[in-house]
Amino acid sequence: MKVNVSPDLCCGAQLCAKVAPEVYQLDEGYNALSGKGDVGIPGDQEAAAVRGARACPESAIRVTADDGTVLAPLKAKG
Amino acid sequence: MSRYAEILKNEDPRIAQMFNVETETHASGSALIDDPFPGLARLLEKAPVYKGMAASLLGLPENQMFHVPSEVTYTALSFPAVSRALIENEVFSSRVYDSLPGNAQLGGTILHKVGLEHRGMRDAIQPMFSPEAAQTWWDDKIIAETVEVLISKIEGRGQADLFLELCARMPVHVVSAGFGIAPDDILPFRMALLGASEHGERDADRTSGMAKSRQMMLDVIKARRESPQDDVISRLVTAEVTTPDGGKRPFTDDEIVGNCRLILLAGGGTTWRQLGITIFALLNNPEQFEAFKADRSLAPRVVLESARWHATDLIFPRRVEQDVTLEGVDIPKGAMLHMCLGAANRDANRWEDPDRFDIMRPVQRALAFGGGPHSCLGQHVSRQEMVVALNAIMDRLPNLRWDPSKPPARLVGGLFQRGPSALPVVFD
Repeated sequence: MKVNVSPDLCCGAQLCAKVAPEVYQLDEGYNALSGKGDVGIPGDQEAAAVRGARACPESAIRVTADDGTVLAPLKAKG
Repeated sequence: MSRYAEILKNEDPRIAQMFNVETETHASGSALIDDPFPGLARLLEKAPVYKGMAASLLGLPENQMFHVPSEVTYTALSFPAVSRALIENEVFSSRVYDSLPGNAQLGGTILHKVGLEHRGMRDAIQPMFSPEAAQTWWDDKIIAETVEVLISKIEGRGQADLFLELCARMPVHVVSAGFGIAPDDILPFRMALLGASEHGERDADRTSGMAKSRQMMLDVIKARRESPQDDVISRLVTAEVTTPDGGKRPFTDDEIVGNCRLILLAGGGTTWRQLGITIFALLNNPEQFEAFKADRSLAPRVVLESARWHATDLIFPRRVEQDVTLEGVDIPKGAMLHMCLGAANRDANRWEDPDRFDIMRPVQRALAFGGGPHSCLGQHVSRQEMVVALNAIMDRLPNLRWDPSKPPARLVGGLFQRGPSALPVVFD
C-alpha cells in the first residue's frame, strides 16, 4: 500500500495527524510525507492511512492499495 | 412529508428581506463597490504585503468591517503571504476576533481560539463535518430532500430568480435542520442572529437579537439533553473537549450556544452567495456551462474553481503576535493583518490567466475555504450542497439561460462580502 501527499494541496489543517497519528506526523505544521512522493505503508496500517486521508479538507492524501485501487480520497458523490 | 420539507414549499417574504447582498453590505458598515479585482491585482503586481487597509490602498471609503481605528493594519495579498498567515496561527492569531465588534458578541467559539485549546474543541466538532459525513449523513438526511423540494417548485414554471428561490433558501435550511433547529424556528433564529452580529445595528437590536438567539439555542440544548435526536446539537451535548493538559470535559452550554451561532451564521450566510456566484459564472461562460453539462463528474471542480475565481468573503483578519517578516515586509507585534484571499486566489504567479473562470484548470489549492488549523469547518457540507444543487439545475431546468426581460445580473457588495444581485433565468 502506498501513500502520496501532494505538497501543493497540503494546507496544514493537521487533521490527518489527529485522526491517524500512527501513519501521519507533522513537520512544521504540514504532513511530514508531503512532497516525498509514493511512500510504502505496512498493510496493517491501511485503515488508519485511509481514515487520515479521508479527513483531509483538501484531498491532499492519496492512498493506493497494492492492486492499484484508490482507497482515498473519497470519490465525490453527485 | 416532514415539516422541514413542508415549510420549504411556502413562499416566505422574510427570505428576500434577509438574503440581499447590498443590504448586508450596508449593515456591515462597508461601501458598495464595483469589481474590486483589477485594483487588487494592480496592488499585488507591486508588492505582496502592504501597510494599510485594502480600501484605503484602493482609494475607497474606509470600512467598519474588521477595523479598529486606533490599530495599525497590514494587508497580505499574495498567495504565499496569505497561505503562511493562515497556517501559522500562533504567529498570525485568530484571537483578533476577541477585539472585533460583532464577532466578539458571538461568545467563545472555535473561531477565536489558538493552539491546543483550539485543537481540543475543534476536534470534538470536526467528525460531524468530515468529507464522508457531508456525502452521507448530511446529503442523505437533509441536502437531497431540500434541493428536491426547491427544484420541484421551480421546474415547469419556465422562469425563476435562482438566487432567492434556490441559493438563499437551501443552506440556511440545511444547516439549521442538521443542527436540530425546529422547522418553524429556522428563519426567526436567523433574523435574531443577524440582528446580533451586524455592525451597523443599534445596540438595542443587537442585545435583543443576542438574547433571543441564545434562548432559542438553550431550549434546543435542554430538549436534546433530555431526549437526544439524530442531529448535531444532540452530538455536541455528549461530545468531549480535550483540554490543553490532555484531560476531557463536556462542552458548557455557553460554548454550544457560541459555536452553534457561529456555524449557523456562517453556514447560512456564505454558501448561498457562493452557489450564486457559481451559477453566475457558468451562465456567463456558455462553453464551460456546456462542458459541465456534458460531464457531471466535474461538479466538485466547478465549485472549487468558482470559489477560487470569486470567493464570497475576500478578507479575513488576524492579530500579529510577534515581530515578523512576511514576504519581505516587517510587521510589528500587535498589528492587525488583513488576509486578502480574493487577491491571493488570483495571484498571477500561481495561476495562469487568473481572472478567467476555467473549470478545466489543473487543480491547485486555493484559499477560498482558508487553510491551516482554522480551515473552514463546514466546507464539505457547503461543497456537497453546491454539487447537489448544480446537478439538479442541470437535470431539471433544460435550456437554462439568462432572462432577457430582466436587468442583467451583477456581482455586488463591498470588499469583504460579495455575491450576485439576483439570478433571473428562463428555461424550457
